[in-house]
Amino acid sequence: MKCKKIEGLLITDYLDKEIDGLDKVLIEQHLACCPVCRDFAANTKRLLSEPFTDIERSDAPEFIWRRVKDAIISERERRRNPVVDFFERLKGAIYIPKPALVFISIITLLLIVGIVAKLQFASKYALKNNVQEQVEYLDYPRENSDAGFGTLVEQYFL
Amino acid sequence: MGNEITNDILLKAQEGDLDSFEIIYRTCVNFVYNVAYRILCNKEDAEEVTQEVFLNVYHKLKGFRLESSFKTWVYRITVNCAINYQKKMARERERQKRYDDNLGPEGHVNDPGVAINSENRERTINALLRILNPDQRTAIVLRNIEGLSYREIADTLKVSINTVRSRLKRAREKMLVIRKEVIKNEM
Ligand SMILES: [Zn+2]
Repeated sequence: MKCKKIEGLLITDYLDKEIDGLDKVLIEQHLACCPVCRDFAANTKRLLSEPFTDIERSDAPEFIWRRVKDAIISERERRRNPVVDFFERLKGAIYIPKPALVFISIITLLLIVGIVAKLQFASKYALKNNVQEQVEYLDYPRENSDAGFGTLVEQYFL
Repeated sequence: MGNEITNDILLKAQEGDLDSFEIIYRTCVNFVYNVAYRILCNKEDAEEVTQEVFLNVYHKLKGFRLESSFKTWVYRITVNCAINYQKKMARERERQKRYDDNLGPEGHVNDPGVAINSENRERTINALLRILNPDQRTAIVLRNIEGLSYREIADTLKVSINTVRSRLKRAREKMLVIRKEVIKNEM
């Protein structure tokens, strides 16, 4: 085996004792005659494996069990109370996975509705103004014609 | 662990028996807590995650199939909770960091070089673990601290043995570079 391939195995399977049979024999034969790989194997063991041996393990604090137990018990009590349970289920049913996204969507929607409404109002207003002007314009000659044209037709109809 | 939890206890716990669930908790809590602690490098975070893990175990217990390995199942829930928690915290810290950047420079507590120089092994381990990404760190914790085999790690993480091997390889290459640098600086 080549040194590079040996290195890969030394840092994984060999170090972790996941290797046996022919592969193990081959590695050990190589180590016996290659000082570079021998050095590498010793280093990986010393630097990567030994710091973790007999590592200090801490006991989990007792209050965690109390918290877990309290959470379970209060959940069970909620389930026993049908009204509370109904609202809990409702809350679960309308659970929003990404509140920020929903919030932004609602704001965007409101903005769009707002803009559309405003545009419609503006165009309506403009139309109304326009109509008003036309009406005023149409009115104008009539106001002036109060004096009448003095025609027979006018006299007949008025 | 795992030997003390009989199928009888699991069945009773699945039916909602709190005493049986407590036996499960007592049997597993220390390894759950230690795995969470090593992945998160912080005891308060590990306490939060341990609580979350057991509430998860409680809620998912009905769906657990008795023929599969309970130990692997709890390891998987632990690793998932710890990694999710870490991602959440990383996002919050990033937000906090952006805020802190405006206030001034921040001290680097997780500089592996500094910690390894001090002769405290605990700090050496934390410093080594901190330079790894979550996947690599999880593989190292399960292998070096929990002593799981490659097969067990693969089952826990639902990846292939080759993936486990390559994560361990990358992790150790990174750690070796740091360790060698520190030793060179000491000489
Ligand atoms: Zn060699």
